[in-house]
Amino acid sequence: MNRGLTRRTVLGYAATSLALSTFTLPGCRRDEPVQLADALRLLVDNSPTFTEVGRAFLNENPTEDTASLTAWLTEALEWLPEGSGASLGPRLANAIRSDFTEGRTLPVSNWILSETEARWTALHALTMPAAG
Amino acid sequence: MILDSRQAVPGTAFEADVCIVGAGAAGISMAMALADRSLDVLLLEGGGFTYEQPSQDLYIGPEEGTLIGTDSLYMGGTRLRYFGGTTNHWHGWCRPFDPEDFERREWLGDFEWPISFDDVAPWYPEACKLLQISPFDYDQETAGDYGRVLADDPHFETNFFHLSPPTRFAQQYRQTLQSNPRIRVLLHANVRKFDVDDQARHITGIDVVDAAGSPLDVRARHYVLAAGGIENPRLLLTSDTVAKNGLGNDHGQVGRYFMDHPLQRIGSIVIPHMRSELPKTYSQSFVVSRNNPIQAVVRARPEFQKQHQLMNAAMVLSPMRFDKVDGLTRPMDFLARNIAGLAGLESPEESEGAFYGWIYIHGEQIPNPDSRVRLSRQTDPLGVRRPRLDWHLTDTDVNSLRRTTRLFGERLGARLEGRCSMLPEDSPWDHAHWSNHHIGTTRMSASSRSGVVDGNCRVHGVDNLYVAGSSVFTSSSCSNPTLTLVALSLRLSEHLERTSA
Repeated sequence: MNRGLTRRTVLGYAATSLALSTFTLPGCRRDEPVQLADALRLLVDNSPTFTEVGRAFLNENPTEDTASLTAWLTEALEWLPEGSGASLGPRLANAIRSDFTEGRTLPVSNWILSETEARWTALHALTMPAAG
Repeated sequence: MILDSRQAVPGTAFEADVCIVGAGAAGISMAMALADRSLDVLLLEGGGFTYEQPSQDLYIGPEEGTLIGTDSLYMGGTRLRYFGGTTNHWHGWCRPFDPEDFERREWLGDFEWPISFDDVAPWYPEACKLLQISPFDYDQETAGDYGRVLADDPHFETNFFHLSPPTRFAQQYRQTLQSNPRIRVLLHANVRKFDVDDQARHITGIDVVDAAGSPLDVRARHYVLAAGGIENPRLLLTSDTVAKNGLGNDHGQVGRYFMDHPLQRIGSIVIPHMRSELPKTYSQSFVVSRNNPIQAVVRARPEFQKQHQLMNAAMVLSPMRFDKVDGLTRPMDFLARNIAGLAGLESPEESEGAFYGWIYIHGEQIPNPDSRVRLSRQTDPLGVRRPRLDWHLTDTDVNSLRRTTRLFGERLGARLEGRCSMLPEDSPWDHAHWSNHHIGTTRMSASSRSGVVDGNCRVHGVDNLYVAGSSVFTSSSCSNPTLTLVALSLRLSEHLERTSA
């Protein structure tokens, strides 16, 4: 069995369990559960374009799903919801910068993207609430 | 004086200190420089003042290779056989070679120039004058105030090509050639081969005929082949009366290592936070001073090339029309802008717009002995065996251009400046373009075992035969060849003056 996959799967369950965390999003009650995808969504400036990029990634990586993407990003961003939400943006930017510096890139419709940003857009595309 | 061989009085002997074969950029530059040094020059040109199809057809021959289709007219269409030569259709891009081009780069193979950049550099200013461009003295100063991609990056830098008007040598220098008493230009003078002594160590004469095939009597102390990167080896190979493999070809080097500059639209680029000068910097209309248009390119720095074993390549960032934008270009703009904002570099509200462009890359090729000019079995109407060209792009060439682009894209991302796309890894390159540059076929080398001419452009083993032009380049750089071939021709002129004295 692929060790990375196992680790990701485990982390995926861990991410799901973050629903029990106490991190609070603006507009949420303090005790309302928060997932990484929700926190990341707050950082998106232009949702339709993120969705477009994310769909392109998913078309080229059809085995990826919400769980695997959440697990991957949880590990990459060292996501610990308790008290960490405020620094998520800079940590995300740093992770993306590190990806590029160390050659952790992949093509999305031939664009050279960091692995972290590509998965961020994909998770956004999968978890964005339907319009209307 | 400019004469047409068809009007020459039969029996006229044309004598000079130096006979130059070919009135293109190299030949005309040399003729004027030699005359200034008080040497009498005879400049032979196979064509006339204007394009003539029968003359041009003498260039045609069998050709094949990666970028050459079955109906290609590479040899017949990428050069011009009349007064002024290929300067009659060149685009005018000029930039000196880089110092590292002359250095040994073991990752590119076992070859080495016998001269250094410092040997050529003193001749660039005069070459710039001939090509009607300003000296290269402002890369880091004058243009420093304008926007640049990856400014002050340790791995990539912006360099500048100067754009010649472009100088049409036939028009610009015709009057000089006409009026200079030390210069005689002979049009419709077609060289078929060189005559040599019984050891093939000295040129004793030259077989020249007019357009009708009638012989002309031409004699000189020194001979310079300046007929281009395909004709130069062709004429060395046809001179096989004594040296059965042709002149300078004891070790089978003549005609090998043919190179051009492959040019490929390899991807696109988005830079969200445009400084207003950026499109201007990377477009061809950029004028910094002295009314000198320049073209900015992005290039991997020499240390970075060495670290990643890259070949020298230049990327042109050509602004894209906004109405032509499609695919993920705009989403990439927003994505990159968003992430830069997260890093606190610049908030989206402060953005002034974006720079969208195509990435064109052109670079040197690895010197490949199997890319070569040979003689075919066909003969032209003057009885000269036609050239045969086999020219190939190697995996090394293509992979280096790809890796350069990828590394550039990763630097853009690492600095949160933008994003770029590039052709898929498995996409074919048979639709790339060539650049009409014919390089390497009589290359410079310390020994006849690895090249054709020595550091003074003299053919190995022949004491009075020289070659001028890009065929003497041992490597091809990412710079277009004209400026450097003119500089080397001027350097050869000084050498011939010393030799003649």
